[in-house]
Amino acid sequence: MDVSDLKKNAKLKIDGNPWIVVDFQFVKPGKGQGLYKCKIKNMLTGSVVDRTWRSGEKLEAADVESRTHSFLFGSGDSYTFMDADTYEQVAIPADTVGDDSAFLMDELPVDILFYEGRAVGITLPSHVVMEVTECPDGVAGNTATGATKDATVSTGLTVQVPLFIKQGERIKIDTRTRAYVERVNN
Amino acid sequence: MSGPGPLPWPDRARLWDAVSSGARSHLRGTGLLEVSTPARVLAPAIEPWIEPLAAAPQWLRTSPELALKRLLARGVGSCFELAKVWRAGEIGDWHREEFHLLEWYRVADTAAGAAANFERLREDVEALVAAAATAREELGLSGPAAPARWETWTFDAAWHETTGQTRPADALDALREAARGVSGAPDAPLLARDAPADDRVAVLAAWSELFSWWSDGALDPWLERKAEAGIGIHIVDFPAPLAALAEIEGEGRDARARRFESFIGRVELANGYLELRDPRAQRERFARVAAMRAWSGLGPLPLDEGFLSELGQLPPVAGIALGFERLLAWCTGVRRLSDLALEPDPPRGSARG
Repeated sequence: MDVSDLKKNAKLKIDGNPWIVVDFQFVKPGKGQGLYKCKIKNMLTGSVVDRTWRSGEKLEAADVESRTHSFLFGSGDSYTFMDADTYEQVAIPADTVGDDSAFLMDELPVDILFYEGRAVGITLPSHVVMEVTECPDGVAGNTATGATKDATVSTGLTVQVPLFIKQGERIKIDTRTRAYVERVNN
Repeated sequence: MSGPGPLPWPDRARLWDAVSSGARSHLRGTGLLEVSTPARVLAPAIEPWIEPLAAAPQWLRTSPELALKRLLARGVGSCFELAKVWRAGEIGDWHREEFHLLEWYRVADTAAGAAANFERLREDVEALVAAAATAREELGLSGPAAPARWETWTFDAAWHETTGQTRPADALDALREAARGVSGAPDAPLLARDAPADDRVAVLAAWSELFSWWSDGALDPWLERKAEAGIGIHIVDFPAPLAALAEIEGEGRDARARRFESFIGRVELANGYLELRDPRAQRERFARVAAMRAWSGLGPLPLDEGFLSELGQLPPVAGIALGFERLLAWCTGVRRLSDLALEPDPPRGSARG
């Protein structure tokens, strides 16, 4: 691709890695060569760097696509998902899934990132609703605003919740911060 | 730095009307005729890094310069045009593919008269900036005050002031060396690719690249500090390879292009020339730019033979183009041209097939 095709969210292959353009600015001083000043994010590691390209430069587009899958099961060293459209299954190493495994429950929809045909990462929904499986009762009389306690949800993940949350209730959790958001009524 | 955000639509229309009226009244009041030349042309000006949009079998003009000079060669006299122009791929906060150039020419009887007019163009820019600020104020819109004063710096002095170095000679090795000292320039040396055989082509390519790195990394922050102190800047006497369509004076190390640019902070407002009138020198420059374009992988452009055949009749003249939307943006303090355009930007990439 030509550098003039750069825009936000363009995906580039640089030194063998897929990068996404997260910020983009075009500058062109009086009759000089145009400069494309970008912030790019490594789609595998998340690291962000500044890169500037010049008018006329050629770039390689990254063969990257994201497809929605639902979670099927985990087997210790890998997690298996199913393509929501084709029903094809893909197993992703536990290392690649990382800490996100704490949110994997049956049929959870996740976006799987494929780089050159290989699954290289998953993106969780920003919020998930999970059932509280273990949680001590609130301490009587403790009504201090903001007081919290531990609650364990169905996948074993522990989050801080307000004192009024009870075992068996469902709560919404922000997957990016792992923070309790709200109680969800059935 | 934050600006006022997008202007309401009625303010955009009123601002356009008021600032364009003010500019017309200044230019007409100082003896210039308003003219209108075709937007669709057989051959656009051949420039190193300006790409025309095709309007097959013709082109949309990237500036009215060649057409206006043909009118001057036919004896029309000092004139101006508020011209809609198109430049492919120029999309950013301070660039749009479709915009307006306010371009004007002050004709003289003699070369000395044209040189005086070349100085006069700077006063025109200052007057237009002041008029725009007044027009904006009268509309009750907020925005920065016009610069309390303007300074004129030679290119060489500005280079030294902003880098601590002497401006490099017009030679490939010197330019490559200078690139290493310019903040923002890449680790990879300038023109890492094989330089073309013609050294003057390589020097043109190197200067147009180094100029961009210098502007972005060193010049702009300096201009910004000047603007904060209420000072607008004219930079005059560019390196000869960056002459574009301007006259070159002197030879060798002393050669300088009679070209200037006007800035308020990072906003590059206008680009003026003491105009080149020698058809043979102009043809050579077009050929050099065409060679540089080919080497840079840019497509070939037709040569405007009609312009070259009339250039010999061009009277002594100084001319300038001012980015009109940039003037509007500066006087309201918005941070991007789309905040005051009369139509939202098309999605990026939609202009190309």
